[in-house]
Amino acid sequence: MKRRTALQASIGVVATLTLAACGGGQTGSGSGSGQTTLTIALSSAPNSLDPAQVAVGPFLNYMDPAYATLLTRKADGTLGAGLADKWGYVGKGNTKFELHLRKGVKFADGTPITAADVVKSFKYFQKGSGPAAAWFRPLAFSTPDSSTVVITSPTPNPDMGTLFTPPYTGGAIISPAGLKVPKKLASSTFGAGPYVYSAQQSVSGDHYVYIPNKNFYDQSAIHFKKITVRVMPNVNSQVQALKSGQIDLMYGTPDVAPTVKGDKAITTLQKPTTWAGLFLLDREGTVVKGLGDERVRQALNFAIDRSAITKAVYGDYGTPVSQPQMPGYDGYSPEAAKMYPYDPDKAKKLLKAAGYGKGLTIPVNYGSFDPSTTKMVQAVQAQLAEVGVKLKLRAATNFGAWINDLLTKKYAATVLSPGTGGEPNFYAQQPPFTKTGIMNVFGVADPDVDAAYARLAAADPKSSEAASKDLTDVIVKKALALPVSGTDTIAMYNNKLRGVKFPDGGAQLTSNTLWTTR
Amino acid sequence: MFPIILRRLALSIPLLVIVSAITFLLESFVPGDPARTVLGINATQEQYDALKAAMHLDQPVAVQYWLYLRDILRGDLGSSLFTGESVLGLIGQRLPVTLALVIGGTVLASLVGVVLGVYSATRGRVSRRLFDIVSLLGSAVPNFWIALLLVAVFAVKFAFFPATGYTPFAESPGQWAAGLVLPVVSLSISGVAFISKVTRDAMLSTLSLDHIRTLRASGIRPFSIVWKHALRGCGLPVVTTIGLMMITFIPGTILVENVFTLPGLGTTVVDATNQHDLPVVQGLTITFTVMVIVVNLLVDVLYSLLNPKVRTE
Repeated sequence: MKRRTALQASIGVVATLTLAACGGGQTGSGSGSGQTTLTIALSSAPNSLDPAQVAVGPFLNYMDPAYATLLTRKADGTLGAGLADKWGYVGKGNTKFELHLRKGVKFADGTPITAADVVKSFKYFQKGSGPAAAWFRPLAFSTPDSSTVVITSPTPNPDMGTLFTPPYTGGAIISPAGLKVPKKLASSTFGAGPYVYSAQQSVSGDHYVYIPNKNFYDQSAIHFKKITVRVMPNVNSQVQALKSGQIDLMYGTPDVAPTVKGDKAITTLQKPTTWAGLFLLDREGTVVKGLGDERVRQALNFAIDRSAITKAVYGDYGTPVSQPQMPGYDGYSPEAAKMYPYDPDKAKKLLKAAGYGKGLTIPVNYGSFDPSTTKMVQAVQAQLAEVGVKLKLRAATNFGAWINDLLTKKYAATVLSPGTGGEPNFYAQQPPFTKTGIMNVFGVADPDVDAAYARLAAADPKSSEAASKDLTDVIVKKALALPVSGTDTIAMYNNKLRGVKFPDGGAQLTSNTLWTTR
Repeated sequence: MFPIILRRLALSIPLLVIVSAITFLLESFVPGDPARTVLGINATQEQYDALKAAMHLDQPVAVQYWLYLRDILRGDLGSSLFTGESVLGLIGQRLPVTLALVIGGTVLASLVGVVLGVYSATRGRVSRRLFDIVSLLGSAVPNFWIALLLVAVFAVKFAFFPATGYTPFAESPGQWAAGLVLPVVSLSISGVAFISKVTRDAMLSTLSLDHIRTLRASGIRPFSIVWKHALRGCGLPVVTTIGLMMITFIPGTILVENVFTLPGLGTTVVDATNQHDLPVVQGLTITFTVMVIVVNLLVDVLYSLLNPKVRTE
């Protein structure tokens, strides 16, 4: 009898494994023809689904389906229509901007979107702590009629429209129903996008499912029956899932991107995104007297071999840069790119002329939670040692520790982990280099920088290029930073997807709602 | 039996308090500021102060721990700093995945390990040597490497099983099982080596006992002697080993879940640690401790069932 039971159990196990094998394999959206679902893999779950709290970068993939923004970024890099179909500055001076809502637009719950709703959403956003909240806080709003919103800035802004595009999330309008229950915004969506978040089909922290929104104003723009964003912390697992057709797109790293080279089913895109290097915070020499001397800061820039470090740390997925912007982006200056060729002898001479012939020590804090940052800063440390400059490194194991260290003002320089950059110069250079910038923890006031920034702010948006380059030139000439590499964003996707690209002059992929399948 | 269970349960309460206190204390030494981590660099000082007060971070560590214990007694493990989700709800969602792995791995490793161990004990010297080599390899090779190998062969090359992901049983039993096959196999490999070795040694020792010789002399079939009489004699060491193995499987799931991207407690603890999400780390530590206590309790119960002497002591 017992032997029979054992036999039955064995048959059961074999049957389960057979059933499993039949049910396994190509379960992903990428398999077979006529694909109508899209599955994206990301390494982290979103910190929140609330537009006022969410971090940007790849996390926008969680927001894009459910939150339509007032304006969008077209593939050629220019602003495009969104919930608003007309926009522009009012008068001169870059302080007043007007948005006209598209006719008949509704939130996903079916209620019409009015100018008053947009202002309520803006006001909620101002109170948040998201990356763009600081840009919204000084703004004032008015509504001349039910479909027009006027935004007034106390200081000139040559690129106000950008604030209403996806990467800034303030243009992702939240419905009044959502604003009534702010706590729910973190784990559900109340937008007007082409899809709605399905909490029933999702598991927070694991996968997030979006299904079509019947109230979206352009039903022809809904290309998928379902969009799923899967959280896969292990990037090697993402590659396996991409190869086996379980996911359609992932963001690669310099380590794994080479492993799909030669795979004809997979396309890889890469684009320089963020400059990595040292922010020289102590520009008045409060902690390290020498850093107050322009010659010392310039010496640091001459002392490092950017090409060698970039090759060693980022391989084929980085670009040597000596300015806080990358080729192809707003404010990139070809002249600034030539200012600091690798010349350790010149570095030594400058240090000697400044009275630091015997060297100096600079305390630097950095985030060791990003392996590339650690490698990069250690390489910089080794090269600066050759000219007598000692970097005393302090590693922060998490973001909170890094910020805490930064705010102590004990560190004369810091290293930011590469995030998503490629911002217009007006937004990119304000936090670290202007007097009121949030990254300028020592509160250094540099009249030349502030003047160049003010000129850019007031420039005519259509011809602001020269002013933007001028700002970069001033920052580089005064050596306010030690840029090393432009790090790439790497996107890897199966060839069935269409429309995946980096917009001109932008570092974020086009919205996932715009992609289609073959 | 019940007094044994009650005694064990009573002892587990101070254990839980000690573990949670140590975790809390260690977390307080971790550099960084959870409120800063949550808010980022753009937050105003007012926002920062408000969140710090809401999280009790402005209180001494002892007070923070007391408030935490008080909440636990009310059945509240707190909320994730990042998503605002209840930690209890988070654990409830992810526990079935980890349990499926641990139980599946234990059953598979026990079945295969016992069969292999008995087979090896009843075969010749060459087979035993071969078994020793295979067993050594099985216990020495890390399970994450086995997992990557299994994925490359059975998921990517032959597409028999999915490379990653988990489907709830209620949604599709077939896909649920499909998603678990490779993770369970990779988790159980070291367990198979461990159990088979202990079973083999116990079986060899049992087979040399006098009462087995008597059974052989009485003409009982060798199959029956090995699988019915001798195997029962191996019960105590094998059950103890299975219990120990199951306990090692609990942290083992962290690696396996990460390789296969399963939404279990293992992936959650890694994410929470990276994000400095202290309430989640704390809640998961308590959950892992409870799991170890439960496994130990099960082993004790089985032990006392197999060995009446334990019950009388």
